[in-house]
Amino acid sequence: VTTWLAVAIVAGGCYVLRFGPLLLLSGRQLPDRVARALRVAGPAALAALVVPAVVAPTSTLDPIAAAPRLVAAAAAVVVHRRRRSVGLTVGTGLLVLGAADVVVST
Amino acid sequence: VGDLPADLRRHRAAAPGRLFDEGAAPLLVVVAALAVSAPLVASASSLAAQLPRASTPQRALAAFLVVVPACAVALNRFQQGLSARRRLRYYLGVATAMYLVWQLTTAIGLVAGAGLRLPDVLQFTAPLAMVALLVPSVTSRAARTAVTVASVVALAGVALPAGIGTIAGLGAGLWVGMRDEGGAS
Repeated sequence: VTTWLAVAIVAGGCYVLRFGPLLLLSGRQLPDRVARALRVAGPAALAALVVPAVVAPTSTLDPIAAAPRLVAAAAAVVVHRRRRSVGLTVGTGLLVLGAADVVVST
Repeated sequence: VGDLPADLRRHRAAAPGRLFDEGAAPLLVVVAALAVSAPLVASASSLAAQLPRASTPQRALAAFLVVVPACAVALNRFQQGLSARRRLRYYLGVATAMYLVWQLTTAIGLVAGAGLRLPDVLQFTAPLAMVALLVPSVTSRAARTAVTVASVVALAGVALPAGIGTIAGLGAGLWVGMRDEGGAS
């Protein structure tokens, strides 16, 4: 029963955490500082999720293991800057990671 | 990419739901699961600022579909200019598509995943897709600073449990963003 109670609280809580900002923040004049923070909230949230996923997906910092993923991510950044295509970005990143893995493991 | 079973085990340990398997107290599980939502709160807040006209039912629907990538796609598009009415429709279209694909592929994974042998490299698809969202979202000096600070802090805290590093990174990014006067994009 405790397990299901916890699941219910998490489910409800997750929804409230999303609905709260949408309900309270829309259509009202926000203080300058808050508005500035919100402008960078999207990029900051993405960066805080992406960078650990690229550098240390298993929560351990290992420069040698991270090198192929870093090279692949850097290639993805360059490709996206040039071509603005998600498909090309992901495809190039995967190819570079595959190639870099082969290089590292030999 | 390393020894797959060991990788998977560590991934499982990182997910709040798996804390139960390790005998963690229910309260800890609840707190960890809600804390993981911090990036969603940030995304929902940015989205809210862009949807001034939405009705409460529309917002309730929008909230149900909030995920960081959907908000990022919509916010990147909004930066190129879109009327207030079209913004809601655009976001709902993106988010609904992501929701359906997510549910469908999760179901496929549950049914067929055990028999699939995919190359390890494919696990990197999701981070790469987020890179493709992150790059165009950095359109101002303030965003660049916030992204740098968020990255460094999130990485520094990567060994901490329950995604604390990511939350700290997000908080640090918001903090420098708030202080940066050159924030207008």
